[in-house]
Amino acid sequence: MKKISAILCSLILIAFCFVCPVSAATSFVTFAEDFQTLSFEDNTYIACNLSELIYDESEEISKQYVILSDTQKENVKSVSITANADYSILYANIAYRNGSTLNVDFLRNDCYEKLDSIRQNTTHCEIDFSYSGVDVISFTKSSLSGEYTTVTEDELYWCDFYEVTSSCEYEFDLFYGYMLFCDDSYYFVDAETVLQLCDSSWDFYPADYDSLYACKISDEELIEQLDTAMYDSYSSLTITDMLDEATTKKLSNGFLIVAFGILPLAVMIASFIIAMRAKSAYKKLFSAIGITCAAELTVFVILLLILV
Amino acid sequence: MLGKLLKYDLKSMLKYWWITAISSLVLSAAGGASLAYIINSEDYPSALIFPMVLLVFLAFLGMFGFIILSTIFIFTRFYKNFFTDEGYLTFTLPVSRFALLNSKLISSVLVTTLTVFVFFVELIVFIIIPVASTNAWHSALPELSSLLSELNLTVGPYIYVFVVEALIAVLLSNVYSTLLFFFCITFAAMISKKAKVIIAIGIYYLANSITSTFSQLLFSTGLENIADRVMLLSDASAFPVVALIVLGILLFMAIVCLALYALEYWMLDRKLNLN
Repeated sequence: MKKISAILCSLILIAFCFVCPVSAATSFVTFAEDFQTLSFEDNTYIACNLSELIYDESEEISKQYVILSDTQKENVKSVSITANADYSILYANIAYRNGSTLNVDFLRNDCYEKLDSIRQNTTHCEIDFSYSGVDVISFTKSSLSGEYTTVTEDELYWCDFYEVTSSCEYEFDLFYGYMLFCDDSYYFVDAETVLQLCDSSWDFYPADYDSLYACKISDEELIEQLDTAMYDSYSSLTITDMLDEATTKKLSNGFLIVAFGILPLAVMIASFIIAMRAKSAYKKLFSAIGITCAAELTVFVILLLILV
Repeated sequence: MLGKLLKYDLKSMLKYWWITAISSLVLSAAGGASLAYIINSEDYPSALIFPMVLLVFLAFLGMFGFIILSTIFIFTRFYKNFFTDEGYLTFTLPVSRFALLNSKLISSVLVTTLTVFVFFVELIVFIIIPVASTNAWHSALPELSSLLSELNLTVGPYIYVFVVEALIAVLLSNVYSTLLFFFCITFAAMISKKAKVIIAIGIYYLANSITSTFSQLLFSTGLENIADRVMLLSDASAFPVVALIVLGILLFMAIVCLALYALEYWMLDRKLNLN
């Protein structure tokens, strides 16, 4: 009896292990037998790449998220799904094992409503500083308020920018916009503005714009949080990272002049002096070094005249 | 006389080189076939997957092992011929030290170039077999050709200048790394009698880290500044300026190579004591 119950328990456990992923997987994309219809689970939001589908036009849902019946699996080699520019249509490309392919378009009209409802229900946003050695900072959505103002070209060129997201109960982060870290102010550019400016949120780069209309953060608590995060982020940087851009530029320009100008000049003079005094092999060798230095210096001077 | 020296240097370096080249080429083909099998494994029994993965691993090992072995063949010849008992005979030959050094340099650069060529052939074989087994092959070729024609349209005739400059850069970096190895071995032979090889390796790593730090400093922010300036130029004048910048860098590399050559020659000529 004990053995039978042990076997039963094991069977239940094994079945549970198999059923769990299967039931989880069924919340993804399911195809009809003839591939002419595509269904999503209605009651819950899809945990896979919903947000990426909305914000990344070239996003491909990998085939593991696509549920195929056994008959389909026998015939189909791979399925890839892409979205159009406004993400209302999904394009499925079905590659069969016999080499033929089938392209099917699916109209998808529920994306925006679902995302909007998620947006409305979340109360907190966050900025992930983890790659610069600082943790994620979290703040209320209402603190992203303030006076709308124009960010100048100079500020946009030198600013740092971080993604503002909100983690919801599902397995993806919603993109809210970008926080611009300028010299003495923080500006928030919302997702709508970002997506009007560029095709995808990943393409946004502040230095590309002459000016930008953005919300200047006035919430004291959020400013304090951002100040601390920036301070911690800077303290984790190396000495060269901490130098401001102008100093780095001057240093590297000086370094270029020393390496490509002064050093070859010194080598050229020394080589010609040695070549004059030396005999046979050394004479040829040092003359060659001197001539190469002279050629390099000529190119360097021409470049200086063109570029400076 | 240089011809004769070259003949014997190449003969010595290639004595076992061709065996390793063929072995690694065969391994890379087998590895590519295994990779193709793994990619299409849905269609085949899974029992063979593990040996196939092992074969792919062996192919990698073979390809990189081939490069390491080639380097060992080249520098063993230099070390043995100059700094062991054989060195007494080498330096009594009726040839100048110039010819001796030139022969070693030319043969080493030739064998390194051959090694890199074989390595690329292996890499292509390793990649082509699995790609040919999938449909990706059909879409990859037109994409590659459209990429090349787009590049040709954008850059224009300067593409040939850049190709020539790139080839010279590869040759100069090859000469530089060979001379750096020669310098390390000679310097180690000058300062030590017993642990020449270990000291040579130590000096090589030290010299390499110094030069890589130097080039990082030079090429990270420095070239970024130059790029900022080039961006301000019109399309018509940007390409000749870029070609001129690359020429400057090539000449700089040539100076470094010549200086290393002069140093190496001076050490062989004046500082070598085989006693």
